[in-house]
Amino acid sequence: MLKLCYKDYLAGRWFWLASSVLYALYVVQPLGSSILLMAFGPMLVLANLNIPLFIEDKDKTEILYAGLPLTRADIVRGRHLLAALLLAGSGLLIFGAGAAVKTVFRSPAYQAILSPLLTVEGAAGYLLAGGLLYAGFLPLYHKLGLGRGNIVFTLGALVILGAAAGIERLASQTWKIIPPLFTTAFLKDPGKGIVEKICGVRSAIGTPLFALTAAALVAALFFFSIRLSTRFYERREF
Amino acid sequence: MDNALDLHRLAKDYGDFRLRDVSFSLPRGYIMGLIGPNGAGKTTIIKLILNLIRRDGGEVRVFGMDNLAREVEVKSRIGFVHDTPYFFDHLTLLNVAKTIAPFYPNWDEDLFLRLLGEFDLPPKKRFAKLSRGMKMKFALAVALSHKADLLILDEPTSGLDPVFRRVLLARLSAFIQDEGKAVLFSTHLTADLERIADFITFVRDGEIVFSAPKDEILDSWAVVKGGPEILADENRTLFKAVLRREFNVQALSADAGEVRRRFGDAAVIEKATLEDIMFFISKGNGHA
Repeated sequence: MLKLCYKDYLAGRWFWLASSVLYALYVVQPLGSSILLMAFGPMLVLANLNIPLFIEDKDKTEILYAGLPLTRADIVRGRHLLAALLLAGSGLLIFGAGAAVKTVFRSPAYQAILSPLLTVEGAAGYLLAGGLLYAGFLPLYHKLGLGRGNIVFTLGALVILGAAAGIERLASQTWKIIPPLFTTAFLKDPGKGIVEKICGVRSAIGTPLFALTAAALVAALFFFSIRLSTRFYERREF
Repeated sequence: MDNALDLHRLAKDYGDFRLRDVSFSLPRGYIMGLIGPNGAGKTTIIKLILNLIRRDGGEVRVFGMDNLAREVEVKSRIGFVHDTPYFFDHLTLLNVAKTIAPFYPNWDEDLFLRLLGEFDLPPKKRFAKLSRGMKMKFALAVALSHKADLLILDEPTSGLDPVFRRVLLARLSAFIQDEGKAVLFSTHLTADLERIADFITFVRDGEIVFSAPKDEILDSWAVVKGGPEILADENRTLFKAVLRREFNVQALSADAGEVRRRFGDAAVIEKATLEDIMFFISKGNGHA
């Protein structure tokens, strides 16, 4: 599987470098809200995975690698390993750039936005969000291909977000069974709000169990994605 | 010893096209030409061997191994050249090879570099900058560099200049000197096959018309040219296909001896080339 990652590294390295530089430049600009930072993190994670997939799609090399001594399951596992490595690499970049900006620019605005994100809870949130993105995207990619997979994934994500907001509104305002989640304070700085909620979970179950649970959830997401993607990819014809 | 390739009642249904009961064998030490008109099913057969598409029935054995049950082992012994070579466009030839070599335990880097030199391919040139012919040469260099036992070539000579075509044919002949190896070669250029193939398999509309030794085919098939009287009732079963011209009739027979005995000097009888056979069967009426 590492051989497949090496192949993607050779094909995508300069594009990954470019996306990393662009992201680092983006982080340095004055940020008004953590939502911008939080939105671009997942975008970087998805863009980095899309780079080798796009190159493969453009050059039609999928048929070449499907003809090599590999099974479809090997190829799917290779792509998930690449996704895991990219999740780790993008995380290093996101948290490294964030820490660097926080150290260099000592303005209160930066401190307020970055401080809650650069924590264990922030890292757990990042890993879960990244794992969720990959677990949602990769099966669709293996079923529908790059173009249609991205479109369906984006539309699906928007529908799920819309549905979640609707349910939250119904539950908090109509049925009054939960307190409002998307308060004005939360929406002003969602990063802080989300991290505070994760903090609540961490305090309730303790740090070791929290870390274990986060790792288990990410592993479960990848496991689910590998199973589903393999099933889809084994039916794919070239 | 097992054959290099055995196909048994292979089937694939695309809805608007069906491959039916495709069976043939390629013994070790031989070259087989796979011929047929466009859309006959040649590429489908090759894709089924490589498990690039799912089969709907039948069996494929490569050196005695089922191509699905032992997919990795089977593929590591196959060198495949696609009719349009696809590699990463922006990488140099050396880097493209680096993306492929790790998958083959028998990859021979020295042989690869030697082949690049022999085929006049600059190692540091980007793949996108190569002409179609050069791309095909590169694909061949890759296929030969991992010491495959079975070469499967899908239209490898299209786009190649005549000089390199000869080089390729010579190399394929040399390849099977090791009698454990074999070549399956799909092409429209039947002249290439007449030079080097030992067996010919003809596919039409998803079915095998024949699969036999080339010399046997060239000895037994004939084109008969004559007046309409050659299509008399008693001769009908003798012809596989007939073309009616304005002033004469041309017919293809798989029994040259019987044709000579029946018509003697009453018709012009010529040995059929592979191109004749392909043309008549594709274009002619089934029987007289």
